[in-house]
Amino acid sequence: MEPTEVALLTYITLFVVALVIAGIVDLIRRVMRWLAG
Amino acid sequence: MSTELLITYSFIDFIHKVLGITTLPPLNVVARFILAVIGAVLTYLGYKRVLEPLIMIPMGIGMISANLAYIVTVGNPHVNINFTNMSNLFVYWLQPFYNFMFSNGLIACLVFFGIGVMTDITFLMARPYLSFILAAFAELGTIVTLPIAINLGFTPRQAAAIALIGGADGPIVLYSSLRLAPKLFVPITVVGYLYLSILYIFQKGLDELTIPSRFMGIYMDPTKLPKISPKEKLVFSIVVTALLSLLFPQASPLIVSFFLGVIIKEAGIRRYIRMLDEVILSLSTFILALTLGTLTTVDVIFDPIVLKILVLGIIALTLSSIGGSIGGLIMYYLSGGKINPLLGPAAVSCVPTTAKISHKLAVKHNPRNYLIVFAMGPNIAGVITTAIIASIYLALFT
Repeated sequence: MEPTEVALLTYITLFVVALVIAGIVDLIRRVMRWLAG
Repeated sequence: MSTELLITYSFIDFIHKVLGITTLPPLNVVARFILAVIGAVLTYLGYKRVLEPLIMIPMGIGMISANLAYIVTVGNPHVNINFTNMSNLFVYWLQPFYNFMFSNGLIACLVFFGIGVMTDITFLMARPYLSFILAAFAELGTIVTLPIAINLGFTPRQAAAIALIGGADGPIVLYSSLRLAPKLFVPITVVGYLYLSILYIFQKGLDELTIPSRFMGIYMDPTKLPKISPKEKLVFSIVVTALLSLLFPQASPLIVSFFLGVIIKEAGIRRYIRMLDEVILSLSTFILALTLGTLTTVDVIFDPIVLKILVLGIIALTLSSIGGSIGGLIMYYLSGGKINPLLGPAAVSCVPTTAKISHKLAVKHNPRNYLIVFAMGPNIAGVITTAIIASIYLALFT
């Protein structure tokens, strides 16, 4: 892979993972609140 | 041979043995004095709090001594950069720290324990999407510097280690450079820590250049932040540790260290909190700075490659800051003007310096603002995104 391709793929992966983690945080908060009634 | 000549030779031999530096070429001696002066300046700037004193005072003193103290038989009397030679342990007093704490990245993990125990993830969890998206934007330098460095002649491993300076996280720079570019880890880490120490000087100027001043005063109401319970923080830390360890095993030592610190804080285990904060963090920072200083010698630093690292380091940090500003402006427009774009550069993960700079600028433009509570979210998310990139680079290039 070319260095620019590596950089681009890394950046895309980072955005995807960042959104997944943010989604998990959101889910945890919703579940915890639902459990607490 | 005449008696006078014999006495002269004996005297010169005596001088060479006592003052080892006199056996070196004149140019090397001059370079050593220059580095010693730089060490003195760093110590003074640390003392005056212009630079980070916790790092700069031990590092500066280490630099002064390591460059002036030269023993003919062993060279630098403090530490030898070759950590594979175990006999060095019996010669150099700092060698045990170097061999057993640097070669495996332990020192960076110990610092991360301390950072974790000092970090409050409330603000990160209160606005997770905003925090993580901005943090991803603020990694622009870490990404773009990689191909730039490769084009400048660095190997992909060295380029990746240098690019990580853009993540603005000292322990991650140290950890990654030790694994990716062990021969360049001293200049990369010293340049990284030096820039992080002066980040607050140029970050403020960059923010003012990239974000229109009319946006800086946008008021964000801190009372509208949702409350996060300690139980939510605990569950988040457990889930994210598991997920990131699974996805990014190369960075798992850093991830575990950081989140273990966070969990200990949330669990309120005072004995461990005190130990990690006051003992482990302080001791590891001190050892890190002192050992780095004693390694910053002529043979390691006076290399044309270091000039390139200096340039690439500033490019990486500048691009990350610009990336953060772009992210902040995008979020400002997407939110219909409700989000202060200064949150973007706060995502450059130099905890808490960049968040404080954004806060101060926001207060300067609108004294009602209390942006720090919002800025800490992207700031801490930046630590996680930098660890993710480090892991990807480590997986790709080792």
